[in-house]
Amino acid sequence: MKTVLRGLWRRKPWLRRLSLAGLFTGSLLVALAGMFLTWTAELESRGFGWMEVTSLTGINPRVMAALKSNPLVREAWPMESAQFEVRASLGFGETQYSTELFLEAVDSRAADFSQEGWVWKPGQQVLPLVISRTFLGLYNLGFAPARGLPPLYPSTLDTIPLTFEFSGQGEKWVIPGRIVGLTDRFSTVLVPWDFLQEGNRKLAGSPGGKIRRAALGVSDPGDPGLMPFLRGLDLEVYGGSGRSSDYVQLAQGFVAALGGLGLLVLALALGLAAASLELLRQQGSRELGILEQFGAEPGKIARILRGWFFTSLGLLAFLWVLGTLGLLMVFRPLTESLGLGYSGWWAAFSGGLAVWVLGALAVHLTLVRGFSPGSSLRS
Amino acid sequence: MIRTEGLWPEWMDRDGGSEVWGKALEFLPGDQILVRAPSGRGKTSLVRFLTGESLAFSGTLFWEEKDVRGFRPQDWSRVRQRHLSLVPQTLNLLGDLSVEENILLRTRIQGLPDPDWKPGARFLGMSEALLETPVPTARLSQGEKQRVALLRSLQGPFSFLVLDEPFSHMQTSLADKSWDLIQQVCRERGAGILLTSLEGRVGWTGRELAL
Repeated sequence: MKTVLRGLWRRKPWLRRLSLAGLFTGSLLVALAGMFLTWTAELESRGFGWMEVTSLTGINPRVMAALKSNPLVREAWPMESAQFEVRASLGFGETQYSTELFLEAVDSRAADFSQEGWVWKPGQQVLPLVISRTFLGLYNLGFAPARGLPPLYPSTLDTIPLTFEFSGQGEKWVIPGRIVGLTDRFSTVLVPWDFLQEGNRKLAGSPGGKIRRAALGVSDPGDPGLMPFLRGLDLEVYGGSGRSSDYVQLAQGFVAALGGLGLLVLALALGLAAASLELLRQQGSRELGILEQFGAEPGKIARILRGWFFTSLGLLAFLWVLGTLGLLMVFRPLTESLGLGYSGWWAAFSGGLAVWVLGALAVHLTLVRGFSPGSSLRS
Repeated sequence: MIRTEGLWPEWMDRDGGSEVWGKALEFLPGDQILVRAPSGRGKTSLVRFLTGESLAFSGTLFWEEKDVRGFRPQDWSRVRQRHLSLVPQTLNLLGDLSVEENILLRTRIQGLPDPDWKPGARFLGMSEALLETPVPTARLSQGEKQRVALLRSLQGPFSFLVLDEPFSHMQTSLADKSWDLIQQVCRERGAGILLTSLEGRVGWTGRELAL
């Protein structure tokens, strides 16, 4: 019986192969769309409702008071900046990189990172730092590959050999630095408030520098009254962690459309899978009829065909899993530097898995309908 | 046991001259029935009714006292596996398969061990080349195909053998040999034979019914 069925199975297999290719493509598109949309949603949810405002003329206490008193603003924190010279050196073996840097500090109550180790006391041996997660992404995507340097992961940031030179007023401090956290809320390099106060006082001679930036926590970043209010105070909004950029929204729309296309391809592939089995039944009507005439049970024939179809499906699903794992390995540095967990991968896996299960179900139902014990194979 | 009550093909006028149509008949294991009729009297229709190929009849047909109108396909599968073997007039060989694969179709469908079919094939004068080479059956002559279909019907379990004009393309000597083989196998199994033919058979000892 299997010999006969194998002959039928090999007859005009293009429809079945097309359906399998469609299932594979559909699963890829659905998985990628699921992954991208999950991650962008995760990225968007971070620091949501926070924005940085800047004023070249400075943010005086009157402006801060106006910000705090507006019901649209939940909280407002001044961001103190370093008034002295800062030079950071990064050493990897014999290779040393050095650059001037800009440091800021904000009240720890506005922080979105762990407060563990986030402290400065005069005479402390190591200066704790928190950097924007975007900077890490830029380093991993742009700087490190161009210089042949290894990617950095959030878990290993504290091992980066950083040395800082702070100078001003004829004085120079050399202090090793250690990155203790990442922030999604602030696009800057943060040091503890107490350190900046001490530095500004001793190296710049100005205990309280002019405040030019502030961090705002707002209830609804999309509120139409917010921007006019901020502009009325002569403030520019920087960062924009409160809303998706147009590019991101465009990309999200594009990917969502791609996911929709994936679903369409999937629907067509499922239809093709059903059609291929129906074609097999119709083209093999004579042979199937003979098998039935000599005692073959339609249900047993369905079981054999299902086994073969499921083997192809399983093989492709396995390839799909391998491909997804490969992507995971390739994109791991990027996703880790962005602090993205496994939610996107799970979305991809569950979306793709749902596709394969759906494919298997469609094949099963077609076989149940066309080759059920309750229906004859002959027309 | 196969039993009919007032069986009539739906397409046939009821003229009353038949010993089968419209009558009550019983067909028991061990019976030998020759159904003789000229073309167009429904020999193949009778075979199709008895084997579950068609229900286009009025009256009632019973298999083991069960009305076949209540049969599900799996019931017919069981009947075909255990009780009924068949040589259809159209032979219904699978042309892509070899002689051996066609002959062993019934037993292999049931997952039974391959019986030794070659002595029977040699008895019917099939060449050793046909027995040993996996030639697709489609390439055989009509007479060779008829022998393959006949040998297929004799493999595996059955208590009724239905043959629809099985000797139509055979020489008389070969037809006689085939009939001897059929009788021998059916006698060993205690199986009944229902044979349709355009004419009677010389030396027929069983029942003979005009259709």
